[in-house]
Amino acid sequence: MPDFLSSTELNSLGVFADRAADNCSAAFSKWLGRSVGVSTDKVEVVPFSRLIAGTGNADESAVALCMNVEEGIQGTILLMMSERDALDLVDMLLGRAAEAQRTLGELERSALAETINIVGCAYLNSLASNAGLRVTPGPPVVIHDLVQSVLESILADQAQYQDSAVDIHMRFTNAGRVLGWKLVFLPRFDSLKRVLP
Amino acid sequence: MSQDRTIFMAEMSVVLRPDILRTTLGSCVGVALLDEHTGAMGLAHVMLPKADAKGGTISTPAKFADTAVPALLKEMGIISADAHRRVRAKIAGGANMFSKIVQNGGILQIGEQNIKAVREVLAHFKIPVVAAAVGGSKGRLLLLDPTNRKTFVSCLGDKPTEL
Repeated sequence: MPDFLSSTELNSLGVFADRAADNCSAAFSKWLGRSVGVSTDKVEVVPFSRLIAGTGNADESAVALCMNVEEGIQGTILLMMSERDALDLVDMLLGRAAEAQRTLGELERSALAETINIVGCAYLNSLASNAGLRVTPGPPVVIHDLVQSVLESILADQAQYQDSAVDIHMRFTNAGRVLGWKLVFLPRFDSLKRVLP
Repeated sequence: MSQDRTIFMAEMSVVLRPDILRTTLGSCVGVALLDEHTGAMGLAHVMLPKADAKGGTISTPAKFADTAVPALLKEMGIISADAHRRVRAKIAGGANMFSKIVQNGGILQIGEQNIKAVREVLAHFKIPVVAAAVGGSKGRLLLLDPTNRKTFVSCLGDKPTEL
């Protein structure tokens, strides 16, 4: 493992990530109007290629809800899911009958963008509060494309500074069922150091 | 039996028939080189234009346009002076996936810079770019098949077409 973060720092990050996941869970449940559990699945430093492999099949398509963060902790947070899961989520958000709408139109994209805005800010503000920081997110973006295409476009920013990424994966559960959504936060190493003791 | 090999970010590889190389591209540029003498095909997955953007030693030459092309030529056993006589290039990728939020030439517009850098480096080695599928806002799949010396490209939901 690259030595950008010591094992102590990685452990501290894990504790902070758990707190942030709890905060995220509360915000997401309120937004959805039903209980959704969010828990930390893993916190690790991985080479870019392993990050792709751990996030899904590179050639598969996914709907990625992305938000770039420029102040507080720099990086990108993204919620990835299949198109079907994204449409199911939209149905829940808009109170529509299941499978009422099966295309990602402007309304659907807007609902999904607001989702990453709420979920991402809840997560990142909790993480940043450990150092008394407050994040300033950029506008949320919804992309439907190949998993690797999305991830590498995000990682191109970080590739200027590092060859590996801090990979913080969160898992979602509803009524005891693990949902196929992945919330991934990819912070820049240098800014992450600011929130660690 | 043929092998289907996937190249990830900042990686490169060379294959002979019957093996196949593939990669998935967003803002990165896939540089496909065909050695017309041997039929070998090489592929580099370029993430950034120049190695000096990072500084320090280059442990992953395929990551940068200016180091990827010479490294791939070396991997293919071709000396630079011979490249223009026997090598043809096809390139794909360089999309701007975040076109709605990125303005003023920010780093997430790196796709255009990657395309420009790759073209410049190939021109430096006098390697002709015989086909390109670059730019836009969509990711691409790139596949190299040395058996018939062909390269295929596709976007999400599209059928592969020969590049």
